[in-house]
Amino acid sequence: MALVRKQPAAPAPAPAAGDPRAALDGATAAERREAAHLLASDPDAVDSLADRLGREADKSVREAILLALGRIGTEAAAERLFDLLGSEDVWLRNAAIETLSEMDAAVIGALDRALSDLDSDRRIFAVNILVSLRHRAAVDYARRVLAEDDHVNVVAAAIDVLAEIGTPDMIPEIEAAAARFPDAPFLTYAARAASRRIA
Amino acid sequence: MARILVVDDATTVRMYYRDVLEEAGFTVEEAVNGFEGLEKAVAESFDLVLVDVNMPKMDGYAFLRQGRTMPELQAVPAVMISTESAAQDRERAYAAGANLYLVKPVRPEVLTEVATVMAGVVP
Repeated sequence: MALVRKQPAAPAPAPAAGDPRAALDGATAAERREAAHLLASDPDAVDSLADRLGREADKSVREAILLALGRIGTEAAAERLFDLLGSEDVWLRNAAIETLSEMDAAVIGALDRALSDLDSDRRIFAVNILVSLRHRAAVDYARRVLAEDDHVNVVAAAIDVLAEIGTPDMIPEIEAAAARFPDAPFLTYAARAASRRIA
Repeated sequence: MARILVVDDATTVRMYYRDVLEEAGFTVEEAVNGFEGLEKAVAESFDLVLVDVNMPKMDGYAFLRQGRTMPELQAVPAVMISTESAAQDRERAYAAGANLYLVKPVRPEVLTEVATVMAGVVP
């Protein structure tokens, strides 16, 4: 009888090796970070990444997840990042703003909801992001805020945006927005400063 | 002459504070975030700090917490001025080291009065 060399038993696969989503909950930060890197090319991973971000404590993993969401760059990713603008975690909030600022067109699709948020501070964050978007729609959104938002600080933020990306034809709209808040001298000041800048 | 450090990432806000306070006789120095504010506080002395909450790189809370551990800022009165009006934001500001919390937008006469009282010196 011929001798048959016994094949060495194949090692059991590590539970998370083939499933980056599962590895997002891995025991080590390195494992979770690597999972985030792998998921950066998977548009269906937005919810897994964002859910993990909400409970992740390690800064390097948080950064990897934010980078992954930014690289995925879909409207869904932008929406989940906008949700973080209400976070009590200042680092996370600022990091979300920075990530959104670099996402360009994907952010535009998520702006309607962000600019309608009941929380005026979230709307201010959303308005501030407009200035860094290289998209014509950013100007239109800022103009809409000027005309419609009823919170003085949100309108002030929109005036600041138009001071950066507006054009001279928008000066009447800026002045009209300031006139809606006659008891806020700062808004009058901001409108004058913006008008001087874009004139 | 009283010197005031304004820490805020919004250009228009810094300009507004500068114009109002200089008109009242104060000298104003600006910083665009907490890091820059701490650097300026080490390099120069101030009688009062006005600081925003939400800024990139280092926010107002971190600025105050760190500043209160530094000899240059330990005893300097600090006013946190924010768009956030919830009670928890106010409590958080005081816990970080603020002496006063104001909600934006601040009227010019209020800004001048607060600066005069808090700086403790005639402008």
